[in-house]
Amino acid sequence: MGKFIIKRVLVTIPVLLGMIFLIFFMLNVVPGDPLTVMMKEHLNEDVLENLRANMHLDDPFLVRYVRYVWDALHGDLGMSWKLNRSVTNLIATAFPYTLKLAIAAALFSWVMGIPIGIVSAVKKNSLIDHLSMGLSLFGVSMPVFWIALILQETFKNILPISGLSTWQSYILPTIVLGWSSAGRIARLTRSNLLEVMRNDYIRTARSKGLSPLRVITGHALKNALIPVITVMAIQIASLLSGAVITETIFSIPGVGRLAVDAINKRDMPLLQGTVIFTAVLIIAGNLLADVLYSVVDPRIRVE
Amino acid sequence: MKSKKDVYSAEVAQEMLEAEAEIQTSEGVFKSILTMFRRNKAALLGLIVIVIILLMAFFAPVVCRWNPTEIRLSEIKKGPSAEHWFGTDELGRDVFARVVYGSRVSLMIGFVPSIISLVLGTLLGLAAGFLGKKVDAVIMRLADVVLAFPSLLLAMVVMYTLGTSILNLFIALSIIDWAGTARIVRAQTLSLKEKEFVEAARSMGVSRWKIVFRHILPNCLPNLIVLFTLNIPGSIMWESSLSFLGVGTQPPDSSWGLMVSQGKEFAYMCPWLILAPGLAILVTVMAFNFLGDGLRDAIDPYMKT
Amino acid sequence: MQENTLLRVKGLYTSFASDGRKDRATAVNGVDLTIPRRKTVGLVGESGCGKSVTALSIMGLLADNGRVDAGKALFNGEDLLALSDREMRKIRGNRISMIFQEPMTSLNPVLTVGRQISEALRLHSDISSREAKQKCIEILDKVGIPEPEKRFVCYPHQLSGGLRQRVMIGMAMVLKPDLLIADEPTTALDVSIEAQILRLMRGLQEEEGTSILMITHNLGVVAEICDEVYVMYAGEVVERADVFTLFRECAHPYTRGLMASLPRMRAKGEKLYNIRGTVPNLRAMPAGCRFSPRCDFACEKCRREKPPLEDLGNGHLCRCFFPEKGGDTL
Repeated sequence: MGKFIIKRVLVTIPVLLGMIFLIFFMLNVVPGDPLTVMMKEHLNEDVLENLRANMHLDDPFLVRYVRYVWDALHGDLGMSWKLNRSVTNLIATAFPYTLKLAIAAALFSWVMGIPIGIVSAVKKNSLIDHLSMGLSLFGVSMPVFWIALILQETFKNILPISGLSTWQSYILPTIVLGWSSAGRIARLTRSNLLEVMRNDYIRTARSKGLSPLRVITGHALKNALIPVITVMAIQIASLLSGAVITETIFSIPGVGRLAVDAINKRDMPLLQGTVIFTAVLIIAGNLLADVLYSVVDPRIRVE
Repeated sequence: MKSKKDVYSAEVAQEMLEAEAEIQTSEGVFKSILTMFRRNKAALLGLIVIVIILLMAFFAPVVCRWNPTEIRLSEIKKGPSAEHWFGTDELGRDVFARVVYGSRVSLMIGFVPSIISLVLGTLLGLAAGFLGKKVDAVIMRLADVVLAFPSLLLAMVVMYTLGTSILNLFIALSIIDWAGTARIVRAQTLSLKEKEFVEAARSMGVSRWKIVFRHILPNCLPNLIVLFTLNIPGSIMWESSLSFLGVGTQPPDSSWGLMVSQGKEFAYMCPWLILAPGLAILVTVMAFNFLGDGLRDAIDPYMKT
Repeated sequence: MQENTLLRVKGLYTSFASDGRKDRATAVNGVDLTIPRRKTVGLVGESGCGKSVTALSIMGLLADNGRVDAGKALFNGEDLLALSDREMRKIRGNRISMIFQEPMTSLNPVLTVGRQISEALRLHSDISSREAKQKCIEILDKVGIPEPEKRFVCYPHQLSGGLRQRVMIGMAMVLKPDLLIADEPTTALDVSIEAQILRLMRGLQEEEGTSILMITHNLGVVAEICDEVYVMYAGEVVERADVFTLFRECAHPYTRGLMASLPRMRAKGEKLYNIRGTVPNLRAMPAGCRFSPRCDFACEKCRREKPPLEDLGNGHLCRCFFPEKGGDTL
């Protein structure tokens, strides 16, 4: 298994470099460097020229890319153009908020999604099944910002609608962010469980005299939930994407909010840093899901 | 050893049967889609809703009594009535008309990037699967990179770089979707490449491109239809999110996402300003999801999200 | 006789619903079956004749679309088909256990062998996990699995097909059931392994006094292990006899066809007999004798009237108007 993990990590490296390259390329072909953007009126051409050389802004693109990766490896993502702080510092301040929110939303989606999926599978084609599957499709089809606004308007007299200070203030953002993930997990749990229940070994388990509940918890669930683990990786991606909107609406000073601010203020290094940081998290999530998969499924473990 | 051989040959027979089932004729696919619509009422409903929405978008001037851009200061922020079905906005414009006309932008942004990414993803997937080696490696690593991104942030970066315009929205959203399509087409190309009829065609000296477009592409079509159907609601959602954040559709154009964004300041006093366009998104996206799910079950019961 | 009977199935009817159809397909059509204590009874027929469905009906393990429409299954005098789910669960896996055809897929891939065997033990008897483990290792040893302590923590995919079927048998026998239902237990195995497995079952039966209902399409297996045989065709019993009578003087044309299609040592070049046609569709059963369309000897009466199951003497039953008593098999 150690081999498998090492191999899996090695495959990740080119993806990581390619990803940084893509972002760096897109953001650095924009005409106008920071000096020109910020100081045009205040400095004359000669001074600008000098400063530019000092800041290595005239170096060839590839040189700048390699330097950026090198610095990033050392935890340096450059300086924000507008906030006069290092991007690393800004992200470090913001990330705990995003992380707390994402964890809360992930927990919400699992606690909601898995039991609903199980009940729907057990009571297949019943009213409960149709209702919960309809509801989950509803969840997947609903724009995040829309449900956020509606919940805010509905509960604004009962619950906090901005920031992440008290536990109550977690409630609305968590529901908003976890809602569609919960729907996806419920649907996946249901379809996997139904598929697993068709297997011969389920009949074997029933032939032992196990109750329907124990057949599901003891025999079917583990098999059915193994593929759900891979969804975790996708879930991380969608939670972090969703966090951009959720944080904006609920005024949570997280990484997603930082990215939106960076766009609105045209703060290139900050945008670059937040996007790359988020993408690295997603790649790490994929990696984690694969490793978890190999731990849970004995069939992969021996290979 | 007799029985083992029997088991073995039974397995081979099973595999051959599955292979046959995989390569459905277009007639067979058509038939199974028809059966699906008869059984799966949700998919049928989805299709009907989509057709209605498309017709409304197309015949917008006939459907709407009011001009969506006409500012009438006497009619500001009126609630829903027989006159104005979805009420009026802060400038006295008819919200129903704005939603109907807004569907033109939202639907266009649903369809165009899905078509672009379908064509792009198919071509790249075919190239990767059929040419193999270096081409395959380069295309697939690129797809990995794109798939590793949070889609919304990637689209935001593209919009930041290129600037906000409808054309750039098409580009940003196409970049999100092509990678998934390419992966699936590549996987199918690889498995089809090994099939007897492709081998046979090759042994008869049929040219490579003919094999790709005559034999492999048609067999990918059913899955492509499903992907296309499910990419459309995705694009509509991304556009609405981008517009909400201010980097999508720009006024004077109007899309559903932008309408929600503009209405949010008045959400408490005039909830219809965000309810109407939001419901439009919800209904449209759900209709496409119902249809896509149904098509997927009909075409390939084993392909899962 | 009565106290010698372990299970008596009377007039069993089982049907299935299928997608989008109102009418149900009857897979088992009035089957009577008697299993004496300490005996092995064979249930023979082509695939689709209803033999597995009969077994699953007795066990209460029919798929969701299946239903027992009528009949009784008296097990030690108690009607299994009238029991509640809860009561049936106490018997299932405890007094009656079952092994299935595919040892590859009948074991849960993500649970260890030991866990899967001890599960039934701990469910039906009140013992500690240590005792359960001890018993599991004993039964693994008994079914001829080398190094049972090591295998206890193995996952199914780490074992060969033969070993997996031994695990299945161990799992079914660990509670010393009164009745073991074996649904084609050797079909998926090598012939050499098949003989070993049958010998193992025979040995366990003698030791524990278990009755076996052996479901198979293989007359070789019947000859090897069964005391009595029921032959089923299209959801009905067409012949019943003890194993010697059956092989010496089977009376129903279908049974004779089965016998004749067995490969045997015979003159070179002689063609293997083949019963013509195929098993009839459950929804379109022929009128009269269900075998008549495929029977070489069918006459007008056969196509019109349904023959009763008649006793030819000594409990040899046959559902045919023209049973061929004592004749050579074709």
